[in-house]
Amino acid sequence: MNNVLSGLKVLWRKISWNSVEEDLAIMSRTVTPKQMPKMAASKGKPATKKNSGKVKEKSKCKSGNGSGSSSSTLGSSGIPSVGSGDSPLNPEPREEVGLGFPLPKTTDTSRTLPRYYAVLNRSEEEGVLMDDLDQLQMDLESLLSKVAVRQRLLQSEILSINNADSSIDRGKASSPGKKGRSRGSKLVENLTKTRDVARSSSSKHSKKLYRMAPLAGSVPVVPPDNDPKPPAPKVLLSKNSAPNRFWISVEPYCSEVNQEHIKVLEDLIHHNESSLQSLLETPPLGEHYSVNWALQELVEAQEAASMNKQRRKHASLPSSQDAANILKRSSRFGFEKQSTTPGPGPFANRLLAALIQENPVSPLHESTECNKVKVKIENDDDDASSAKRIKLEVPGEKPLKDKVRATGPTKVVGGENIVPYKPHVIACFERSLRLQLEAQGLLDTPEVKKEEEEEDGVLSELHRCQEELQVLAQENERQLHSMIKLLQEEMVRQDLRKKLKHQDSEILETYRKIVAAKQKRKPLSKSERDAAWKTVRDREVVVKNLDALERKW
Amino acid sequence: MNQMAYSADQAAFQVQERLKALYRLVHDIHDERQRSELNLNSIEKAHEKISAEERVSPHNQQQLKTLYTAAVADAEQEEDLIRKALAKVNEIRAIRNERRIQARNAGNKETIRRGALMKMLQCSAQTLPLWVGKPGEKAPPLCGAIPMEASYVAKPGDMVAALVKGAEEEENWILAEVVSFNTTSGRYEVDDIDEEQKDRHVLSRRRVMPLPLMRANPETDHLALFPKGSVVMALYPQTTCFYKALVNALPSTATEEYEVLFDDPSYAEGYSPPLPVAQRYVLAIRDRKGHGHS
Repeated sequence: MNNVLSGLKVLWRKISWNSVEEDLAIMSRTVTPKQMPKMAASKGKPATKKNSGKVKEKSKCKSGNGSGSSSSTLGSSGIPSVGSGDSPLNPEPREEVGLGFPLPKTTDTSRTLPRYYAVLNRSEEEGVLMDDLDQLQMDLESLLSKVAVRQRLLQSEILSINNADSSIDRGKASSPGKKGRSRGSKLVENLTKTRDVARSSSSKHSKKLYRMAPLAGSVPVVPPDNDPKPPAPKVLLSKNSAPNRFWISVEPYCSEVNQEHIKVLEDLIHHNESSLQSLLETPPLGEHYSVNWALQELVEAQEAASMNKQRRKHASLPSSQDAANILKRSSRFGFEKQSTTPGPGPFANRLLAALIQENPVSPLHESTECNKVKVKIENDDDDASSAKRIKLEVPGEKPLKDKVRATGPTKVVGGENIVPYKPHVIACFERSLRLQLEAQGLLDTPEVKKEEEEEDGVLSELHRCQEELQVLAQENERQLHSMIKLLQEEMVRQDLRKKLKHQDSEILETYRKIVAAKQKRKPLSKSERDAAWKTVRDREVVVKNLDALERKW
Repeated sequence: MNQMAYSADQAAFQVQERLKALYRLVHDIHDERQRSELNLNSIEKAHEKISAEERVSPHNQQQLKTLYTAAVADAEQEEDLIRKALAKVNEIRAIRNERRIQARNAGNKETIRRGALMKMLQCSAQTLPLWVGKPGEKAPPLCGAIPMEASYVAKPGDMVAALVKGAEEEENWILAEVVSFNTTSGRYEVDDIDEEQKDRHVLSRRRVMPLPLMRANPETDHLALFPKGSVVMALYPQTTCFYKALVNALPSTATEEYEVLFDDPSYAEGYSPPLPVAQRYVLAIRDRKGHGHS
């Protein structure tokens, strides 16, 4: 307490009346003497809180009726409570102005910005010295900060005024009185808040100045006091902009509807229809993915094989891992269900069986053609099994076809004596063989059917989705249409409301005329009277129409 | 900044030029302040009037708006001048720093006592340029808590925190000054700021963290400060080492410092009592290794 008092006494001597009065007024409203040390210790925070509470009360009063009743709140702010013990500090208490910016007072410069002030008072020759630099920088920075804060504050105030203007325009029809009041009190509240928060931060600031002074060395110790131009907080900015943002976001929902809105909805309907059409079309069936993939793999395998041959010495088979993957995949396609046995596929087996075991099996069917083939195969037999493999690996050759045709119905014998083939080679060979057989009409196509079934699954899924989509689109369209209908109704109502407004103003106009006439004690002419009645009746009609519509709604 | 090399005379001349400009600017600022005060006084009067009337009439509002707009224009003028003055101050510092680096490269390394060093560190933290953003402007990298850009390389003479191995294989983040950066190896050469350790360290970029180049102004750019409760690396007062700490209180003005609680197992709660650390010496924590405070 004593510290505070002595500090205040120093203050008393040093500062202009004006700021002391302000400080006291603030304190007197917020603290009793008991609380004062506590306030000083907690950097003035409690003061802020209490003060803002007061502000609310004040603004409530103001918004209540706008008459003088609230001045008592301002005036009866308990100034005597400060009085005990510090009478020299109690000059004629002037009522504190509730609003106000933290204004910089150039007269206080010597105290708040010592080095800046010192430089100001120097002659051109003396100028700025290197020793000044640190402290001068700090002074300039605090000036800059204050200016920046002031700028933000002013801009937020301008914004809030602008906003109040626009909200007034908007709210005129509904409840102009309420809006107007809230705007006024809002502004007042803002201003007061600004000051309060500014004050709290100023006390912090000056405290710091005090603490720092010894560090800076040559700087004279500045007593802790209230800075007359404390910086205002930027918190305020966000506080002010929140309602603005809210109103901006709400604006489109409250604004009047017009033809353009209908157009947007109609465009939406058209767009939906056209896009739906394209979605409902079933695209033409392409080649089955397994066919595509198999062909790709065939090409890859061939490349790999040729590479392998070319540089057999290169032990590194570059795609051994890849090959394994391909094999794994191809087995998934169901091309080689027998892949557990490392021999050739069923077609190859049948073919081989037909070729090798020709004599005991089909002597009866032998023909001249068959003989030819046999001879050829016997020749081939000399070249050992590798030759056969080569032949198998090159499908589509004419002799092969002939052989196939020649063998006709044959018995299937297991390929136990066959050298193991790479599974993908088998698969490919099987496939091409089967295609050929089918092309020749020698083989039914059961597997193909299976594939088609699979495709049917996709198709049915597609249809299902399309149906769902259609239902959804119909619902959307229905909603859009109903919205358009609502819009149209709303526009009718809107027109009526506009008309009503017009009528209202007309009635007011005539009312004013009548009052003016009465004041001049001039009787109204009949036509004027009729016109007045007509406007009233017109208005009634409009109101009735509007009511009817609203009821229907 | 000024990258030119100055001779001693040139440097002195350049500094003198700027000091003169600074003197003139201070006077200009003063004139401008007096001018804006007129307007602000009338704003105050308007406020008084409004509070006396207990309401804000549309006319008052328009009047206020005009006054505010004029005041904003004044403030912009004033701000501009102050920025210019501060730019001069920074230029002078840059010239002096340049001279210092030159002297160091030439081999005459100034030796400072430990007490003086601590004072110098304190001082350089206080005179670190202050960033005051224009409305809506974002604080740049290396301002306050804003991290550096990934590609940023600290310049010679810049202060950094460097993770170096101590005598007993323990690693510490120390305060150091950049000597050079080798672009090919991506390594910094740094000097321990503590003169008693005559070590020069070569460290990878990962082990070097530049200190902020600007202070953030709590009054306008509080978003560029570490929030309360964040874990940071802070320079332990009266040492040249960074340790893990918890932000306890933010500075509320440009001249104030953070209040941090250092990780300190010797205290029962595991934290030291609150200690003040300047904005410049509070860094984002990067690595969990090496700040165990013993």
